[in-house]
Amino acid sequence: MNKTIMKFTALSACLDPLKLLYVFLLGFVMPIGMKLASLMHGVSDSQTFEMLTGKVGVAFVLMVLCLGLAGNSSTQSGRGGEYLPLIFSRPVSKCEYVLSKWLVITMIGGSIGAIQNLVISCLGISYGEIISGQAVLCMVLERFFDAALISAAMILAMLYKHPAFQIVAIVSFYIWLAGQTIPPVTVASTIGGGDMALSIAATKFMINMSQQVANLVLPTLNLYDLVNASSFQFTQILSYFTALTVYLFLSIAATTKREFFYGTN
Amino acid sequence: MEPIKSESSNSIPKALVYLTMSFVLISFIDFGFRIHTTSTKKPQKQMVGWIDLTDKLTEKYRVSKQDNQNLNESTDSEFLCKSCKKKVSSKKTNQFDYEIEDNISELLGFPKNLNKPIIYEFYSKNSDPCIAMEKNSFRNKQVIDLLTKNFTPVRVSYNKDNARELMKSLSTFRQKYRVCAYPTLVVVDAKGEEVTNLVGNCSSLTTYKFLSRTKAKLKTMGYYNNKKIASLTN
Repeated sequence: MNKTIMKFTALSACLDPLKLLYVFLLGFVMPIGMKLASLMHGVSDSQTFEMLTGKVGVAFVLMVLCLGLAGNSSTQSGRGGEYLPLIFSRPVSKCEYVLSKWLVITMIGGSIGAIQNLVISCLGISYGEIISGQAVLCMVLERFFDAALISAAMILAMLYKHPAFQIVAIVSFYIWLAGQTIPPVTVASTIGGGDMALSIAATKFMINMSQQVANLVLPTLNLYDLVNASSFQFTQILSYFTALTVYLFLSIAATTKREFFYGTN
Repeated sequence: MEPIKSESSNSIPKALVYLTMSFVLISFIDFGFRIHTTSTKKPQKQMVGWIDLTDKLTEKYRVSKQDNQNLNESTDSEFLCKSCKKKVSSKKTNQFDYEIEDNISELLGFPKNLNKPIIYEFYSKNSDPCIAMEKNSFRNKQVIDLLTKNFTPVRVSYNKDNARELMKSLSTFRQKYRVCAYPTLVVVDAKGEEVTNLVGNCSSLTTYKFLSRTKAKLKTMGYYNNKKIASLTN
């Protein structure tokens, strides 16, 4: 790991006041406000709250703070040339560069998500929720695992410059995001007490598609369920680590294959 | 002077390469194995011992229907209507007007327990979110422990194949708690009034937090208090 790259990445992420304000509002003010409202009114947490304090929240934070850090802003031609050739003219391997970036972005996203979850847990406990230490630890670790996978996917999308791939990456991300917003319910029919599924064919197709995409592209590692499951869940762990290693491998491979222009105008 | 590295700066670490290949290979094997076993998969055993209200209601309906049939057979007679001078049958119509909320203790077979208030799960076997919640949240040990130790879990299941009269009773019961989606968890007090609810397929942690918060709320209402129960029952 390269300390200089890590330091530069952390500073670049955390020094923009506008981005920090956005993260503060979306990552803290909104979820904490929603939690307080549900606690004071004695209702259960909403789906939006679940999204903002889970994987989707980490994704939003990372997209805002770290989106250009691994790729675009490093290749801007603001000073008449790319930065990456300058970086790689030093004795820094592509692997070191990618892994350093990945580690720092994971730490940033995971820390913000973890602090948010801790604050919300404390709020819940003050209102009578019983949350075991194990559950809190699982929540915190889950945020880091989510950040690790999302940052690896983001770095790959930024470094592999093929337009078709980037389009596929963006479309997959939005399909996944759409799946998170669809209410996880079956609507009850008003007549006769039976059930009426979300039977519009397109909606059902969208739900299934987003689940398939999510399992393939951004598999979730639900630590709390894994620890408390009645049987060992091997598939979840396997899917997660397969996706993570594939993204890191492809990121490094994409960086090694790229040609950099070392001349100046 | 630093030692010269023999590896190229473009090389990918061998450890990462082997790890990626291994994970991908194992994933394919696991995928093939899951497809192969999908067709022969047995339905998973329920971890939470839900009391099925619909089954008990179906039994009640069946008995009522049988009673009506017997009654029709034994008392089927015709009489002369004085006003219209026509023969009229005295057959009773087969009606099933069963108010679930008024007869819940009789239906469940036990009195309401102040130590374990009832939690209803409005469920449909045709609903994917219900099946998903059954696979995830209701297989989590902590959720199961909290649910079974502090609540009486009762499932109100909806099935398209149920008789029409049955659906009407269930629908009235569902409308009392304003349930419009499955799955929905509704916790009720001793009077049958709703205390709180949870709508949709939620994660294990959300379900656990909901149950713990509900338990805390019920404690403030006097539940789980042996002394108070003793004074109420004496």
